[in-house]
Amino acid sequence: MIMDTENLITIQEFCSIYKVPKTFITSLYEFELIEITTKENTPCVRVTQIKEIEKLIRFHYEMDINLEGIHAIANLLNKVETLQNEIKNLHNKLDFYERE
Amino acid sequence: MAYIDYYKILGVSKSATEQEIKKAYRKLARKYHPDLNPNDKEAEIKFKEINEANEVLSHPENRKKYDEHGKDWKHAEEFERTRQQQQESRHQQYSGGFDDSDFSDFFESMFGGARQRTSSAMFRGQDYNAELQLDLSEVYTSHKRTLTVNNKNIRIKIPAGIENGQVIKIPGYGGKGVNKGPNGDLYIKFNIVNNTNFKRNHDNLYTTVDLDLYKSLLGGDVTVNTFDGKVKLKVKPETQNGTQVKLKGKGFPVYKKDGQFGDLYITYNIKTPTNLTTKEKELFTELAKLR
Repeated sequence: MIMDTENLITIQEFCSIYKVPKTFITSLYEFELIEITTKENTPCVRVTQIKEIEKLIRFHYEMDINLEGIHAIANLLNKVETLQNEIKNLHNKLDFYERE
Repeated sequence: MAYIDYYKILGVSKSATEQEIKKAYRKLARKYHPDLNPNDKEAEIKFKEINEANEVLSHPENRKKYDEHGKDWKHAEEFERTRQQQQESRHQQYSGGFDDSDFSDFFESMFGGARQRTSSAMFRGQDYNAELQLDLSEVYTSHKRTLTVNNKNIRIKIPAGIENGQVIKIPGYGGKGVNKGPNGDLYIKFNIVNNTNFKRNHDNLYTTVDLDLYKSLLGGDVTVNTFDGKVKLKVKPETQNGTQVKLKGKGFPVYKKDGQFGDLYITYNIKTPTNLTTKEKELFTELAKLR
């Protein structure tokens, strides 16, 4: 059952919707790729995490990437995001110096 | 509408087996998948191409049609009939938030628009991305604006001080969720065009003000433009060319901090007089002798 008020979804419900085994979600947690919240002794994930988990599901089930690979990719994507932000800031700074 | 060589796109020969096609597709998908190439438009285009190639070549019937009529697709009337009748399910392929417009005209012409695709939005709605171009002066104050995204009008507040290239997320304004799932989010990227006389570095603004020689030597008042009006400044005697003065709180609004502003930096550019009269030359010569 989805607990809307808490913005949580039980792992059981999540796995049933996405047709992935619970062990996959547990493994993601063990690799510190997602957080699991327990509500009334029921393990849940936050609704705000769904987008990220969907991505991890795609990595594993569509691209055949194992969990170690996903872990490495997740770290690299964080770095990519940081670097892209840095590029954006440097771009703005360059524009500042290029203007008359 | 140009012919598309799907074999070339996947880098396989025309006699490639299903297994070889699958392998080539997976290899390319791992290289160009949008999840692995965030904010990379070229990779996104490439990914759509390989997805389309796979849609055709990994499906025996599609591949057969393509091999038989590919180059003559313009004249193959049966394609149109097939298009009307087409109801078969398609092979599962990689997802990533695409819609019907993601297939080429060539594909649409040959195989029609109807398809059953894997959607990334199995539960949570799809995220939407939009770009908004604004003048710098438009982001000096917070204001509301109505945007049309996917034929829906959305009224959003644009906070003052937003940066060029900044992306803001409007939660829940993406595609609708499925099975009580949450809606996706709307991401808006701001392209800020600066047509003003001010240079901007985050919250600070920079401008140059011309000073005549006499005012720079003897001091005086000068009226300068700030972003929201004019201010009168006292110029100190013997001001040097390139001197910078700071007007605290006269810069750009600080993003999401109401009432806080950066500073305005003014650089004086001293203009020496030209076309001197004989009298002026005499007087400057006198002055020069005094130094």
